[in-house]
Amino acid sequence: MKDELILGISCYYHDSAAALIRNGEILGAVQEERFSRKKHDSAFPVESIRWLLKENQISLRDLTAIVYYEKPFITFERILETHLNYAPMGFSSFLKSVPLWIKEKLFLEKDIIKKLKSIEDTQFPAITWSEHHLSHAAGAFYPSPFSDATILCVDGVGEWATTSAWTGSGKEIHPLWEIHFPHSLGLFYSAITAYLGFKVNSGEYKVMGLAPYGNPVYTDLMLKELITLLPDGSYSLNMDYFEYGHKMKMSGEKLESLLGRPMRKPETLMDQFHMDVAASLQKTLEASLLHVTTHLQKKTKKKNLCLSGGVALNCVANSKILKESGFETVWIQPAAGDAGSALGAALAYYHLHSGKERIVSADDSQKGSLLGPSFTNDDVALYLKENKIPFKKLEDTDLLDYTCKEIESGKIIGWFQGRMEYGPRALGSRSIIADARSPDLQKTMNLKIKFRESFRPFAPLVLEEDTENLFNWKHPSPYMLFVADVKDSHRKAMTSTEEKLFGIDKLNVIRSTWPAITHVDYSARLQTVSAGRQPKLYSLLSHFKKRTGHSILVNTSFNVRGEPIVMTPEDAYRCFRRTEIDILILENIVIEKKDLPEFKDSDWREVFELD
Amino acid sequence: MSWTEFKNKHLFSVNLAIVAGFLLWQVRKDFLFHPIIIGWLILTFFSAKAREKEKAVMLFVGKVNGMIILSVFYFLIFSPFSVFYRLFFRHGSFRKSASTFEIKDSISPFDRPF
Repeated sequence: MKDELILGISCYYHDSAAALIRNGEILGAVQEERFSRKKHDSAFPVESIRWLLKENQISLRDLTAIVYYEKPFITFERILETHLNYAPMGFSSFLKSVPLWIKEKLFLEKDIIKKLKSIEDTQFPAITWSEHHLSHAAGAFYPSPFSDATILCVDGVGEWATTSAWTGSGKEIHPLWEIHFPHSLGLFYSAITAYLGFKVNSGEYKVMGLAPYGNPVYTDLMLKELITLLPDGSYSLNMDYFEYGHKMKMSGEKLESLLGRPMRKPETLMDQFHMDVAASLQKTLEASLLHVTTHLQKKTKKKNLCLSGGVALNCVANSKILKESGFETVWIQPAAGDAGSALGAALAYYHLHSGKERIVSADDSQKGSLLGPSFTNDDVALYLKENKIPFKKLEDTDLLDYTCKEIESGKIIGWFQGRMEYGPRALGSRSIIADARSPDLQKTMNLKIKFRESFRPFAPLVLEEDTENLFNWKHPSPYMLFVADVKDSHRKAMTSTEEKLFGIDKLNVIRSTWPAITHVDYSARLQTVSAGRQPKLYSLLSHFKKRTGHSILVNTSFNVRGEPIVMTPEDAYRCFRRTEIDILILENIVIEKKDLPEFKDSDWREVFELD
Repeated sequence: MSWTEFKNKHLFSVNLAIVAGFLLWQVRKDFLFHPIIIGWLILTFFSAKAREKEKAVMLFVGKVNGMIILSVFYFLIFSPFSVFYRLFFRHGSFRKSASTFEIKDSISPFDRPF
């Protein structure tokens, strides 16, 4: 029987990506930003597709289908109807969006064919189209470990849908309902993110990290004025306060007067007010998602929930859903944003259009989300020799000994191993790791290595079997999509003076045995590591545990602010030299900064736009 | 010079000179300014900067024209039609209601972009 090779593509909005599956098995998936080095790159994923074809030694003519993740004509209909709804207001938005659509996006098929021809001038199958939220739903359900589940997709907006519910059983996915634009939890969160002075589509996770510093004093106001939770489980936004429907901005004066302050300008000082708004926004989102999911659980009566869409990257809300919605287990697509839709579109076509059966894996079929390029020791050594960079190569056991010893002595390590992650989180393949017990690490890493805002927390890597002993959490969290509280026994009592501290001042208080990963509310964005998914990382943590008694390390993405996560040894070396990382470990090859000559390079701030 | 080179480098300038010459003759019924057009055309054959400048100016003129046409369309056709849209065809999600659920019972086929 001939193999069914399906290519999924998502692009032209943000986070473009491509994914390749063979007979339902994921062969590879990667975001274009990793190749182009432009964060959230929306360009057609030429390099991603080129890599997928080369890696799997296939040609475009071998493909059974090429699936785009959205239906562009329905999106255009939504844009036109939105302008009709607000006309004559919204002229500037009309001037910007309509010519672009008429010139380019309505002729997407031609454009995709042209771009594919630029990769390989050959015959290939016709372009097919999956609905945006179906791509999300398929990306959440098919790789999940469930044969039967409820699926919820929550994002900014797809064609019309902003929130959608589905049921999945075996190879089938059935739609239940959608909530349509302009009512959108994703856009609601983005609007307040913009109000707080962060960038839409990239600042949302900063707001989530800021929230624990504040008190949710505006939650009632938000739930009264901005969003209404309707009795049947749906919700609606009060569009008097939001302007994204007809303007090129998210909100205006009415929201400012409701919250009592003008919008914060980017990169200006934050105070308690901004933290309180962030806390209130987070609480409002959690209340809204719980409202939707509890109704959904009662209606579908299923035990399992699959989540996708950009809002599903909010790990604080995900944990609330798992604890309180009535669903017993929750699985979230690690690339929950639009990048993951490339994979979802391909899987949807395979199971729903081709009608092919699905094999459910007990863990999941996402392969640890390690679906991108990898490099051998020889590849690394070749690059280093060509550039006259001194290095040493260690065998596996020596490497683990050496790494643990250096981490214990307070060194910060650039850890580059195996296949690159698919999705926004670094899961231990392209990570910066360090000792979580160090009291100053959070500040040092934020300011001297990541060059980002000092309030932002770091995530822990922990052995899966140790999770229950260290955190109030019993579920696996291999994709860093849940938060858990540090167990009481590992917390440090605060003095009465420390208790009174507010906001960022709390950051400097030692709150647990592992201050670097403990947020001000004692929460941590957990990644559990198992031997099956990540054997080398598992060995490292086990080794560290033998030496120190604990299996917790700090893990943050291997990049600086505004830079996509590193992909190649060259990207990693450049990032290593631009920051105060002490040691770079590329597969089994070790480079110590003290052995290196002075590094002359352009300022990274000129290369990467701040996010 | 090959046809491809001529097409890529100079056809735009030649076309523009013909149109400009024709329009000027239509307006003035004389050839007073035509030597300037010919002079500019000759310059574009020798100067890449002149060709770039010409294209940038025409792009700007095109954008202004496009804006005028779109503005006329928006305010004279689109906006009046929007009144009918709001009265008779308005999408459910723009109306106030007790529920924002849109029941969905099928999936759009993969072979069409709508």
